[in-house]
Parts: sequence; structure tokens; C-alpha cells
Amino acid sequence: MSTPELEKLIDDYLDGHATEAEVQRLDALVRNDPKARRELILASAMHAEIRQVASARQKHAKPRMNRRAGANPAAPKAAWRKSTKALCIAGIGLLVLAGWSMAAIYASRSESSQEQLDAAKRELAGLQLTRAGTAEQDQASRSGGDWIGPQVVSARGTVLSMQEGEGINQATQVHSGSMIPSGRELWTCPWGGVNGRYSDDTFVSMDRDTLADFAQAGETRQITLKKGLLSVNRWPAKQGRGSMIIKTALGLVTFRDAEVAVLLTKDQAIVEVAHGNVEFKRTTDGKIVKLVMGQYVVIRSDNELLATTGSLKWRVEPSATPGS
Amino acid sequence: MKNTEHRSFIQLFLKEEPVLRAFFWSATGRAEAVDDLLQETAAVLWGKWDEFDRSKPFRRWSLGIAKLEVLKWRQRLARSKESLSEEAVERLSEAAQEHAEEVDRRHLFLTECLQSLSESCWSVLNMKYGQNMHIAGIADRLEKSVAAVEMILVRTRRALRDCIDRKITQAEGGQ
Repeated sequence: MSTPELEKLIDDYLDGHATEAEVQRLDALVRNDPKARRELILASAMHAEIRQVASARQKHAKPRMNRRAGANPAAPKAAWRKSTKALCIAGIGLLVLAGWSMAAIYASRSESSQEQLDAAKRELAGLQLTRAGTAEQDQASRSGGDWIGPQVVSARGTVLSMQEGEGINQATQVHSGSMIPSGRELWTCPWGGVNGRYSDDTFVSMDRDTLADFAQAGETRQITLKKGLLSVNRWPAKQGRGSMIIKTALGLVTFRDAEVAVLLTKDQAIVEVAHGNVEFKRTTDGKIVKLVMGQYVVIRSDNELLATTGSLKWRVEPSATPGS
Repeated sequence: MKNTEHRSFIQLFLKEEPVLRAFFWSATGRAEAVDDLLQETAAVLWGKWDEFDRSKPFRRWSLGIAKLEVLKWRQRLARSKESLSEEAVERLSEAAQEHAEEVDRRHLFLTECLQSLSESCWSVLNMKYGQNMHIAGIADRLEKSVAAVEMILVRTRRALRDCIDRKITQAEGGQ
């Protein structure tokens, strides 16, 4: 068999288009021909890498919005955005759908809108069952009916709950329905991700290799983001509720009702607002920047803080351990 | 599990990920099975980490576990006529071990070659690989014929293979 013929047979097989006869033909080649085995392994590696890159581009692609002049030219090219149409539909089942929309940040497979809605309904049913009868999973302390951290709606890959300061000693793996108490860190492994939901229907999403912990003081909820990509979605509540703070080494992100994403790397943070009003206050000099829907800001320890209209594209590069 | 051991595991596993993905896709012929098998294999490896003899190659051990996971997958889900035989899977596991270093080397150059693709090629790749669209759907979206889209894919893959071969030749020529 010529090389082009073998390449076509292999590509058709990897695309899922090969007929039964073609699969059997390839099977015979794989069993008997070392060259065919090598070609199949190398082609698979190429297809897998293309899929990884294309999936990442697909996850973070969004229509580009108008940029104001003076946008930070040093900002990395990265973006996320969720469709807001589904989020505007009333009903608690569709609030869960909003949580699933955020899950698309890290999902490696694309899903149709109908599949997302069906998945949201299943998750809602599971969540109600979880609330009713999983006291043994409830590790959180409760205060006035609210739990301190979010409840895990869905976890993908390996997600660990760790005692702060102890790393992976005493770590436990979290699953759908797990409660995240105050004082414990949550880490998504490089192949992991997690969606969580507070009792007041605040949704939290952590992308892969993200480390954060959760706390509450009075009515104010705080998430300390130590690295990675965190998204929070808080739609206006019928009853008033306290502020949400996302604390980072570079400063505080504060808001009441908003949809915001924060990406934190070793020396830089990016805050992007999809909806609502958000304020960022830098730790080093106390400077404040206010963001509205459709704006982002790139933050370092001493750069000029500019609220810029538009979106960024980024890819979170995972590191090996929680502390690195 | 101590921090240092966990760090070691993560570093080793991440290094093997391209080879494992290549093996899973080659052995199953199904893109959608790759992520599940990777996660299941990672979980098994982590669970058995204390049993692993650190003096032995992690690659061989991880590919061995990966092969077992593929065989389990075959029993659970695969229809025999549309998937490779058990013997073929065994041979592919050995081939993945044998060609792992070549996979790693080509992986590095592939990243560079992907960056050189035109936006028109990427629009097809994004739909095919990123959105899991069928060729007919891509053709409809781009207002092209199915044959034209298939040709774009064939040419793009050929261009990537040629690019990688060229970079390898240049790298070896410079040594």
C-alpha cells in the first residue's frame, strides 16, 4: 500500500468515517506491518494535538467587540464569553443552565443548546436530591441556613479539597454534591474543572489547574483566588444580598450582581466583566478601576489600570502542582 | 500522599499525555473516547502510585495501564466490527512505547506548524476538531462542496506532516 493510500485509510479511521471493510483492512495492517503501526501512532498524535488546540480556540473564541484606543498592547491575546441569551430565560432550571454555560469554559467537548438544557435539567434533579439526603457528604458548617462555600454541581477530572497550608496531605477528592467548607482550598488538576453553586444561586466555575478557597463574613462572600481561571455569575436576586469579593495577590475584585472572570498568573491578573458592575482595587497602591459590562482590565503590580472595552483570548497553561 | 510524590506523579503524567492520547485514539478510532480514557487511566495510575517501582520507566507502566483501560473499554462499548482487534490493540501499545520519543519530538514541531496555518485552514479544523462537526455540516457552513472540504482537510494534514518532517530534518541537520 502506498503512503498516500495508508494515510487516507488512517485519517478516515481516525475521523470515524472508515467502513467496516476499511477497519478490518487497517486491523490486518496494524497486526502485521510495523510501518503501518508507526504511521497510525504518529497520525493519532497529530489528530489529538489538533483537537486539543482547536478545542481551546473554540472554548475561548468570541466575537470581537470594539476596542477603545489606548488598549494595553502588552495584554495577552485571550477571551471567554458566554451567550447571554440563555441566561435571560426565567426559572431556577435555567439558572442551572447558566452554570452549565460557564462549564463550557473548560469542557473539552462542544454541546448543542438542547444538550446543555437537558444536562442542566438532570443536574437540577441531582442537586435537589443532593440537598434532600446527603448529610454524610456535607462537610460545611452552616450559618442561618446558608453554607459557607459552594456546593459542587459537577466536577470534571480530578478536583481536590485540601486543608489550607497542608497541600495535598489529607486531601479529599470532590464530586458532584460535595460541600466546600470555609478554610479548605479547592484545586482542579491540570485535567480537571469544577462548577459550584452557593445557596443564593451564585455560580462559580474553576478552570483546570486553578486554586482557590472560600470564606464568608456576615453577608459578604469571599473567594481567594491563588492561581488559575475563576468565573463567578451572580444575577440580581429578588432579595438583597451581600457583596462578593474575589481576592487575589494583586488586589480585590468586588461586586454585588455581575458575571465576571478573573485569570491570575504569577505576575498578572485579568478581570473581564460580561455583565454588571465590578470594582478592582490594587493592593500595592490602592488604585481603583471600575468595570462595566463588556470591559476588561489587565493588572500588574504597577501598571496603569485601564478599563478597556473588548475581550481577550487566553489559554491557561497548567503547571504541575498546586503551589507552583 | 506527600506533596513531593504528587508533584512527581503530575510531572510524569503530563509528560506522557501526548503519547497516551495518540495511543487511545489509534486504538479506539474514536476522538470522544480519548478524554475519558485519559481520565480513567490517570485515576488508576494515581491509585496505584504507591505500588510503582520508581526505578522503572513511568512510560512503560503508564502505557501498560492504558492498554488495559482500552481493553476494558472495548469490552464495555466497542462493537467488534468497527474497532480494531485485541491483537491490534496489543501491537499498538507496543508501537506507542517504541515510537514515544518520536511522538514527543514531532509534538513540539507540530505546535509550531499549526501556528503557520492559514485562517481558512483553521476555520475547517476548528469546525472539524473543535466543534466535532461532520464534513457535510462544514461544507454547508462554508458554502462549499463536501469534496472541497475533504480536500482542504487532506491538504492541511499533508502540509502539517511535511512541515514536521522538514523541521525535523532541519533540526537534525543542524546537529
